Amino acid sequence: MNMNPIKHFIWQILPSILAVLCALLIGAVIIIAIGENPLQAYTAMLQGAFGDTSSWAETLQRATPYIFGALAFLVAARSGLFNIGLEGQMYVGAIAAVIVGFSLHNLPSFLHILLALIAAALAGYVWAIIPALLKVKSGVHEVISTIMLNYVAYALTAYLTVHVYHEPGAVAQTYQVDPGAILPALMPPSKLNTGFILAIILAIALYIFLFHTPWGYNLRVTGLNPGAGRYAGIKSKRIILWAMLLSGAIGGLMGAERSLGVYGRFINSFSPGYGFTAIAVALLGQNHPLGIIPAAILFGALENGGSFMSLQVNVPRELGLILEALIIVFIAAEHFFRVHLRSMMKGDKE
Amino acid sequence: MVHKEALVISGLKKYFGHVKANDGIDLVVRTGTIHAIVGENGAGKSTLMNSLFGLHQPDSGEIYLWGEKVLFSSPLQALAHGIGMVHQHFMLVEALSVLENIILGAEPGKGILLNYKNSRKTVEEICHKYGLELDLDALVENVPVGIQQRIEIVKVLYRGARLIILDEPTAVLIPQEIDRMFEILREFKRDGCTVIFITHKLHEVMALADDVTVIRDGRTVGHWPISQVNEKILARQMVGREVVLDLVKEETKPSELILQVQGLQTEQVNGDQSAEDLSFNIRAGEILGIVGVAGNGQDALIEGILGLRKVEKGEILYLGEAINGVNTSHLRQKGISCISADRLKTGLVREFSVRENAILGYQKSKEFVSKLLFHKKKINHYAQQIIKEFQIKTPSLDALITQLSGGNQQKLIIGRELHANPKLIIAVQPTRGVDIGAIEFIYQVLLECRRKNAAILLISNELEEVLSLSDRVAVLYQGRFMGSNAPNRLTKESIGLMMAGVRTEGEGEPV
Repeated sequence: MNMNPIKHFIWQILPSILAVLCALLIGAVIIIAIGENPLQAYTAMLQGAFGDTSSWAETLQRATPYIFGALAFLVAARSGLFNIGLEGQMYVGAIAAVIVGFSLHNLPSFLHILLALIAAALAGYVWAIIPALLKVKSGVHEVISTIMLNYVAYALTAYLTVHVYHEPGAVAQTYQVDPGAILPALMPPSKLNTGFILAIILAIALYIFLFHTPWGYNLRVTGLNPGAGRYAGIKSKRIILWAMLLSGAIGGLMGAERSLGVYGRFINSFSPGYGFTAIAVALLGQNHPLGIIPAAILFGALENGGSFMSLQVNVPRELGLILEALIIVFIAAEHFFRVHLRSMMKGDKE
Repeated sequence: MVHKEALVISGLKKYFGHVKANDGIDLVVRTGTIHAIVGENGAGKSTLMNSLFGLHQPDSGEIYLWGEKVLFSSPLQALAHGIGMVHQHFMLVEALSVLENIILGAEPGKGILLNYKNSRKTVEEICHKYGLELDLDALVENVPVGIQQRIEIVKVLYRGARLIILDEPTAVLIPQEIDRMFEILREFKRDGCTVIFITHKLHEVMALADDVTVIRDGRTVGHWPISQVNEKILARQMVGREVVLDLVKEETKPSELILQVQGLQTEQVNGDQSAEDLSFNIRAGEILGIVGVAGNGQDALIEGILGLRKVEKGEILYLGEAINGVNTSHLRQKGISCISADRLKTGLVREFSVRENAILGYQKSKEFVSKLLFHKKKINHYAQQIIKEFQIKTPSLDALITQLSGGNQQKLIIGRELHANPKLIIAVQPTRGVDIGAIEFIYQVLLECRRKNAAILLISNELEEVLSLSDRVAVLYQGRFMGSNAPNRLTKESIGLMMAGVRTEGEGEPV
């Protein structure tokens, strides 16, 4: 069967679109059960997410960690690894950035930010070395090792926050960073910051890397068919090692954007699970560096629009989170969509 | 009274979307005969058998089993009606014993307890009756492939099948085992069983079958009593045109030494047979064929040369230079290429397009990369060129590789591996699972490379292929060479003996 590029593209994103539509449909049933009009609720949600420039800014602000996180996840996933340790890599990255942020003074802002980001990336990188080496040297499954390291990261950052860099007061948080280390806001008073632009640049860079360079090619071959990679002379162990480290470094950047751009410090257990939700975003975006951008913005919109909707109609803001959860469920069922749609539409010969 | 026709299928159709896998199949199998079904890969043989066996339902058409109209919704029903199937890929549980595998799914006994005693007796009777020797207590994982197939056959008999379907049963057997299998099948026939034999090897059809049905493009093109056809007629019916498989092999004068392997001993990997002290040479313009039952060290030999498996002892010299442990991608740059045994496992990436697969193994080559990025124009130009040169049928460069037929996938691999004019070609099962038209083409391409002075190491399970292409043939058994000679000085019987591990005297010339 011949497929032109547009048809091919639609075929690629169809499962994601279907997952979102199914989630919205079930969400509508829930809204009706509450006794409200789903159309009204969704309109309010849309308005809250994209109604004016400040709602756009808030939506993009909420989308930013998901873009970083999904990029981190997909780099590993494309090489065949399931990095579920983004949360840990994010925490160590966030605190490393903050330590550089408040330890150095009187630097040009650009340089200060750069050093803080490098520190964050290095911290995430270090956090990924352990599972990467365990995987390559002795075959330890990365899901186990990365998830364990999440707990180590929680404990380590809590210790540093409470016992080492604790700012006096009731809140478990560190000192504020030097003003020069703060990622400049793009549209104050929104917390949307230059980290968003960095995330978009990173997405484009990763797209080029994965699909237009031999190294990205090798990475994808390793993830899809290591046997063919072996005969093609691709050293899969080396690729896996680098993909995991790159993933960890981007995970670290995800943390730095939050701590340097939004809070200006490290707040103990600040994350509502960015590192895990990002996995769903990556899957919704088909593990494609450009596909995850609309997916992340959708998640940002659901959260942001949800808050606004709860003020307009009598539907709790948690509906946004419920929709996110439903999308995750349907994306997890992607295999079902693909297999069944395909057999409905064309079928496999023999 | 037993019905005259064991199986009648009329007008069977099965579509998968636009793909007409079966588009009007008619089949009449007389009770107590051996009926061969031949057709190229993708002709619809497997789909037909799956419809019959209840693995999926046909869209239209009728199936009569001993005069009774049937339509099975699961294999269990098919089994209950006396149909047994020996699949091409064995369905055995390695960790269980032979006996346990045979009774699996039809365990005797009451409640949750198994009655091994009775079943052992039944199984032993079956084995004895047909002379199928089996050690019932051996674990399947310790049993050679030939025997595993025997287990599958006993399994089918144990369930009382009266219609036995065998899908490409001889692929894993050595010549003597094939003869033995034919005897057993004839024994079944004498016993009143009906046998359906699916194959693409026409000489087997001629040797064994009573009737033959030819399938092409999902349709029955005809059926004949075996006395009315010959291999030539069948080949023409299968392909739909005249086929020339008589090869014109020019005399070449093997010149410089390309590959010298001295005492190659590879590391043991996961219970896979290692190479044990293998020595051989290949010269430019020469094809060295290696035969052996699968799993006798072929992989170790190939991967040892390609630097994919650790060499523990011995030396590999390529153009006089030691290449032990040199990375595969360097070897490719030096002019060693490999058509690997299993396209979808080691030769291609399913999820990749034709274009992406066309550069696999050469993705870092200077001709495709400029300034760190892929040079799309050059890659397109190159891919178009091999598509044209190797007559690959593909909708476009962007088409997924899985949209191509097996033969076209294989041609893409061959085009890719030959485009840089390699000096040494390692061709492993180069015609596995491809249609006759493609086989013809691939043979000609390999002979053309030989004419152009490439050294070719041909490793294949297809005895005919190796004998007709090679200048010398060596037989591999448990990682060692049992002997070697020019193909015209070898008989099928002597090769069969060597494949079974018997070293015949006078044939152990240096390889």
